[in-house]
Amino acid sequence: MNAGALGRRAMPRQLPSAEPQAPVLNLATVYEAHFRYVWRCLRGLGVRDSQLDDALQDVFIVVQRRLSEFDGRAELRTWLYAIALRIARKYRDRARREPASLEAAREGEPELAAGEMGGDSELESERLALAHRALSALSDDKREIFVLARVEQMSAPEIGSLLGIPLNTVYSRLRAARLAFEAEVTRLRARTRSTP
Amino acid sequence: MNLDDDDDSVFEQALRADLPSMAEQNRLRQRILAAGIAAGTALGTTNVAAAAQASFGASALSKLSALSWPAKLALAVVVVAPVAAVPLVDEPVPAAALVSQVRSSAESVRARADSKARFGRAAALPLDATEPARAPELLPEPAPANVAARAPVVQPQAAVSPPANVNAGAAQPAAVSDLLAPDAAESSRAQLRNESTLAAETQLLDRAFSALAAGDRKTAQALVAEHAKRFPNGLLRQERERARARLASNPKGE
Repeated sequence: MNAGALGRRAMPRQLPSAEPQAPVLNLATVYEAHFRYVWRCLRGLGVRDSQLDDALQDVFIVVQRRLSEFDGRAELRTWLYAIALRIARKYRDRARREPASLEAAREGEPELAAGEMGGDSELESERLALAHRALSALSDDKREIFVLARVEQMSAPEIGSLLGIPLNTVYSRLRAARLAFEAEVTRLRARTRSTP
Repeated sequence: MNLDDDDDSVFEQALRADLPSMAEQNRLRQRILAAGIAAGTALGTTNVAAAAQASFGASALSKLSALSWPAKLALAVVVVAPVAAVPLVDEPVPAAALVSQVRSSAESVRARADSKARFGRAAALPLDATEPARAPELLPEPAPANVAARAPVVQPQAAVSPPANVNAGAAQPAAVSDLLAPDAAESSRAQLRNESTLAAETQLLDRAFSALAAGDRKTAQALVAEHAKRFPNGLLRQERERARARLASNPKGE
């Protein structure tokens, strides 16, 4: 049945709506517009490079299942990050449960090369590698809030509702996370300098 | 209070710029396509109009499911072989290109099925037959040939919920329906228009946020204004307002 045609018959003289109709939102368009940011978010949240593809696919399987429920009240990107956050937690937990031998084997796997990460200079890729190492030294709570606020640039109220914590906690935790991140960066840089 | 009160460190900027390269993006697209998510085993949609396309896509799917096993196998080979053989180049693969790959593959399979029907006992293969229960048989086939060992994860969903016709409906079903009935061509084109609009919006706002991060207020303002002019009610208008708020709240630009 053609719903559009029915609508036109029911309201033949209706003036055009003041609010233009939102474009069709389907999985293909959502994927195309956002998968790079979801990828970055997952990586920032501690999903290993070797599992990034699987995690990204898991996110979009959930999106596929739930997209019809998305009502547009939240920003689409915030909604995607909420899914990514849960998937990343699942992968982190799984990684922690892995036997030590398997974990050691994964640690030995080559990480993405600088060119593959999109970095276009040696300095940038060094900074990025150092930033990821500093991130991995943070606790899960701090890491999540740091990535959401400082990397993905979500607002404090968005983060509060996403993580289910009060606004004051968002600010205090973020402050602590930034201090911890900077301290770790300083420590890593000092170590790099002292290494011949 | 603004979360961005303090200056960004170069390390935070590096994390923000950490996006997959073009080659990586293409690889991820291929993987998702092979997994049958973006390819439309059951595409989610928030728009009722798209649901109309969806029912058509599902009927196309059931037509394809009525093909014989050899025809399905041929479809899997023809669809997956080019996908698996695509080299990772530093050029983005547009969604339209992926859609056309599938379309041309499906056309060749349909031609084979037609000739088989004409000359052999395959005349008993009704392309119009509706066997929704057999739909999932068609889809797992591309998976083994590509990286998508996990593709079957999405199959049960398409199989169990025929009303999920409502959830189906965008890129791929439109493309398949395109070849089975001319009416679907228009919806497919509308789909591609939306994709390109969103891509353009994303690109503009990406550049605006990058300019903000680099402290280039002037460029950021210009890009935000351009977005507002070109897409006053765009899908990413809230992102635009966020960029605007950041411009207004922080005279330094970040």
